[in-house]
Amino acid sequence: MDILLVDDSKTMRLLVQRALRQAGYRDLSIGEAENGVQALEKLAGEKPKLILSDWNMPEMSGIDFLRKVRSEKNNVPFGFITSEASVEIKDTAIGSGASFVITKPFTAEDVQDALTPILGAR
Amino acid sequence: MADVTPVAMSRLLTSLVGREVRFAPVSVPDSKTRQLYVTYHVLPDNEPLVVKTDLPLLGALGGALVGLPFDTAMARAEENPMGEVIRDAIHEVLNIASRALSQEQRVILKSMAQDPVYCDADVVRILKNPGIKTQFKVSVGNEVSGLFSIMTK
Repeated sequence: MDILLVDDSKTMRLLVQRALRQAGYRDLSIGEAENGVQALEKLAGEKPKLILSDWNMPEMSGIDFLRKVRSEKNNVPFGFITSEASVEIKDTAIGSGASFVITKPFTAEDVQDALTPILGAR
Repeated sequence: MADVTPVAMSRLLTSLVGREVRFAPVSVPDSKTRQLYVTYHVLPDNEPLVVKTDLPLLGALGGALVGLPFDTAMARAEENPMGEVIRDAIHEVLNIASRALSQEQRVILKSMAQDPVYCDADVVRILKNPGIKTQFKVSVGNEVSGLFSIMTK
């Protein structure tokens, strides 16, 4: 698995995968989880190159998931794709170890701009 | 609290669904079309903000998000129970719409229901007797239109 995509919305997981393809990342394998708890289970057996996560999710929120990942000394690059657009949310995300925050609605170009420094250009 | 602007909502949803969406303020009697009742919480006090909107309109917006034709999406939205794909797409439209429901405060989508009987008591009180009600006619392209009302106590 190259990218772990974490969002409770199946629709949004499909839209993010579509944007990844449009941004040129067709060769990467994508794993999916519906919330932070499921994502942590997937991380037990996988080492993705990047985690893309929603913020508001049932069971475990995106920020709690990120903090749990970092508390386990896992430095995997982590980005949020969220409808949360406030400066406070972005500051909290970056301060907790996220590399970027993409705000919904997003374009393939937004995804490409965020991912290129981590995964390289396509 | 209900400081939503038609320009902000129009821009946000147009960008989201890839079709021209226009919000225009109106003051008309409630529609007889089947409705969707949506509960948001305005932070930090978790004050309820309630959206009552025509279900076919939300079906069209959700359908546009996932690439379904309007007729198909609107019909699926009115199925009982609603299909998972269109329900999830509508939920995502409403989730992202939360960004434009207030310019000042953070708004979080809590639930949506096809019958107010499934809404919390404080939400039902707002539906029956809103302190502030802002009503819009929403059009999607030139093909679909419906009412979208935002209410607070």
